[in-house]
Amino acid sequence: MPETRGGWLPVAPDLLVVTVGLLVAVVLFPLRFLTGQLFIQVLPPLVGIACLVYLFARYRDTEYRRAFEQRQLGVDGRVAAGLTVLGIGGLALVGATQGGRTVPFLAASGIVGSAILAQIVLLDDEALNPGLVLLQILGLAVVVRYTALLTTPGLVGVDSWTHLTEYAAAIRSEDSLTAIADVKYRTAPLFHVLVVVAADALGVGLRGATYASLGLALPLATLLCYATANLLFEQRWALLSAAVFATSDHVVRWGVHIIPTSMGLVFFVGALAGATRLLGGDTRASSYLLVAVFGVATALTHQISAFILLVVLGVGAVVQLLAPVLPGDGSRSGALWPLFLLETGVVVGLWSITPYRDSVFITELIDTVQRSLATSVGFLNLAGPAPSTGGEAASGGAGTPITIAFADALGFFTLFFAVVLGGVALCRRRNASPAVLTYAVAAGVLAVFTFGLPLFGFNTFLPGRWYAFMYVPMAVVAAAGCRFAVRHCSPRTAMAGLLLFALVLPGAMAINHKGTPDNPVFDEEFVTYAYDDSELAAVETVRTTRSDAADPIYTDHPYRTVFERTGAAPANMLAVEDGEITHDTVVYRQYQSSGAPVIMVDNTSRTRQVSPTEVCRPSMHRLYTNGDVTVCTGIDGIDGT
Amino acid sequence: MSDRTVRSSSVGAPSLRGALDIAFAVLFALLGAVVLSLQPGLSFVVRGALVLPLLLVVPGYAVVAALFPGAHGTPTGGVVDPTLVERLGLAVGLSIAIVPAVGMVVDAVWSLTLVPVLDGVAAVTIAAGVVALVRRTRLPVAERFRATAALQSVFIGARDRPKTQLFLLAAVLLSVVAIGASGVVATTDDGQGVTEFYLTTEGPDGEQVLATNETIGNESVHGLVVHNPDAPRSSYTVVARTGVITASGVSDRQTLGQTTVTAGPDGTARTTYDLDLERDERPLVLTYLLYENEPPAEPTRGQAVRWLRVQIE
Repeated sequence: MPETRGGWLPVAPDLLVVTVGLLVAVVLFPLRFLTGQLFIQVLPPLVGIACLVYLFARYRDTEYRRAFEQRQLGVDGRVAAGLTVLGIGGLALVGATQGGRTVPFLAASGIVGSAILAQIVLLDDEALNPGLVLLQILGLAVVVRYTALLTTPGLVGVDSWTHLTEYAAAIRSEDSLTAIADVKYRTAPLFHVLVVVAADALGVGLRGATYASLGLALPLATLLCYATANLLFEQRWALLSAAVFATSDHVVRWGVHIIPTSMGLVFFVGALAGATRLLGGDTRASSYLLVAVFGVATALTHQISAFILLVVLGVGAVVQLLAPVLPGDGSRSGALWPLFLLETGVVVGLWSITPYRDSVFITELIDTVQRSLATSVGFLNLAGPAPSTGGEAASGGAGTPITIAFADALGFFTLFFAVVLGGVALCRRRNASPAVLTYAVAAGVLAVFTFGLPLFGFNTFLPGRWYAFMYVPMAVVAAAGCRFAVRHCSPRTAMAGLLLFALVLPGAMAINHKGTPDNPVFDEEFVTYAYDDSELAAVETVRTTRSDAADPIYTDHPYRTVFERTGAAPANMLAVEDGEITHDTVVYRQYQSSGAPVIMVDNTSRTRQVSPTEVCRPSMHRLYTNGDVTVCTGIDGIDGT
Repeated sequence: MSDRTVRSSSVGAPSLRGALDIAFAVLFALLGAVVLSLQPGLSFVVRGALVLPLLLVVPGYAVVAALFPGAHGTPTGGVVDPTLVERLGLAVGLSIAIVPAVGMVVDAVWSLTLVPVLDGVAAVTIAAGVVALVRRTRLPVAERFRATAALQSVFIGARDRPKTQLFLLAAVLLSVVAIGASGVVATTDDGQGVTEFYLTTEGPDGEQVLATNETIGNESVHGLVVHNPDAPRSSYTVVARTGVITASGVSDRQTLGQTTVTAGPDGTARTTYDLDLERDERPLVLTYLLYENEPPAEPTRGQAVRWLRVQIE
């Protein structure tokens, strides 16, 4: 079939991209001999294989579209939908009876996710009811998130404690935003205001209000992902995008660890929906307004989210500028550059008045970037945790057995393969348009920020926070990859590939430790960022009964963050030096002997289990206990009675 | 038929049927603002049914209706208006932006309290509703967005194969019941509670504080607290034992005394232990053993539900 006109490139753009992809794969391949980093081991070969698969399918030069459409594998989607809906109900029961997202729950959620993806790829056009499939995707998303939220006492994660128990609580008690006048959220208070308003309106606490409002809004953002993809592709592939987005590990992560990043993600998807309208030719003021409103909302919610949106809008603007040399007809597209300038102006303006440490946010950011460039940047300078852990406090990774690390990242690798395939396919002249090219390039650029910069030891932009945002264009582009497979591979090959994708992706994403901070599957390798009733009772008792003059306490990370962020006590990380723990006041919890506590070992933070008597030494006073948690102090100054 | 022909055909007055969604959104926002301003004693379920749509859907829906008055599938000027799904997604995104944005404005001119925020949200919804109504009216009837028509399109084909449809309905109902029941189970306290046992001493201001290594050694009176909010009025027995610390461990263990305490309605029981150690051996270890029932004749840590320890040098 002849290629459509468009673009001044002398060669087919998809071939140019696939050549670059193969070159990147070949150049990066030897890095595996320099570092044991899993992503460096896996991603280059994955890029290479995906490019070769693309080339192979392309040069068969056979259109299988009709063959796939005539497969007659399903005639009535309602039976499959009914069974899957029953599965979702059963999944909720499993979660409630097991008291959380246990391994059986996650396995069952993977099966239900696979059932949904299978419907999307297998059912005939007539049998595929988008409303029914969306209902299932939303049902699964809600059950997975709320099982974690409702079965976990307290809050999930680290930052959530600060945002709710410190910032939102202060605003609520003072009925004013002046309560957070000294922190960087003074100019980005939308999250906190929404939570406070919801709490007052519902008559519940801040935790309940957060879960009832944003806890519901986050899975509903899947509708925006579907709507966005539906502006680019047929319903089947839009549904696939939505399903991939809703079940992705980092997207689930921000649905259970609900902080301004979560809200920023919703606005980000909204802005992309508007931008896609614009790029698709809807140049009415409404579309511009939509992007502008979501852009400003993002800036008023979360600094990193705003920066990521800025990057994507910048990508879109550049793609439009390059439209004459790129494939596809961009003459009908609305202009993104005014929105990019507007967002830049809003972000720079807000950051210039945002208090941060002893300065303003933008000055501190520039200083931090300069400091990073001067001190820690260097090729393969993988300072701190692996890119997969996102530059946050050590949470497993470095000493994790390769099999566990691979199983943990399998979902991402599966998605990444489909994304490379789709990214190249979207560059083909017949498929290209400014909108799809923006998504393909945005997925690549966000991947550079997420993986590329940390490769050089540059973690200033907190790459771990970029994943969920990157998953939006990745979900769209992966759907394009699946569509390419259907159209250019034989029905048998395409079906096998898509079934593998449907079987692997939901389950593998479900068990990733980033999506299960409340109860990771590999709980001795990855940190649990949630606490049981005993652990929270101890924090509360320390908070209400501790003398202000008392020494700081020492305990594991992340438990110490709850003491600090709830104002219970100043808390530091336990440190083992020369094989001993010698602090005066320590807090031991059973998790330190059975989970993945992070402590300092010879001045390096790492995951290490310790025994009860290592922490609460027999020579110490044992002054508090609730069975699971014990507070001990040294005996200095005891003179008897 | 060209767009121009359609445009010139049937532009008319607004009909209630074509604006049911806008009317509903406006009325809902007004109802929410009024009811929550009056602060009646609503149950959580009723309050949630009123508040959540108000925070998550209604204002955003009205704004989307104002921005995109046309129906999907009837290209207006060469572009396509959003589907119902896109409208709902945008409504959620815009709602969670509008509500706190109104809150910021209210905070700037007043104080961040519920009633003015809800009034502001209602005002935005009404204003957007009016704009939506005017813009819809300017479109030919066939091009206007009608929520009823969009909803009907969702259920196209629902009457085919009634048995399959029945199965699907039953599955959805069963699943909703299961999810609801799971929510109740997950949020129901198991009633077990956590029994805390700790030692307090007099703090700098005279109040009882959690003992520390600085305070405990010089105290002659130890405060002992047992706390389990899920077990009010429970009885506990505290046994005090001493032993002499030697190079090979603790020897010569003796029971100094025991006290039975009963928790109050808040699940807290307090007692004090006046240290009157007659033993001359040093260092000593003083152990407090907590029992929920009668302690055995020879109490040990292993049998106690909780235990504390103080070293005396």
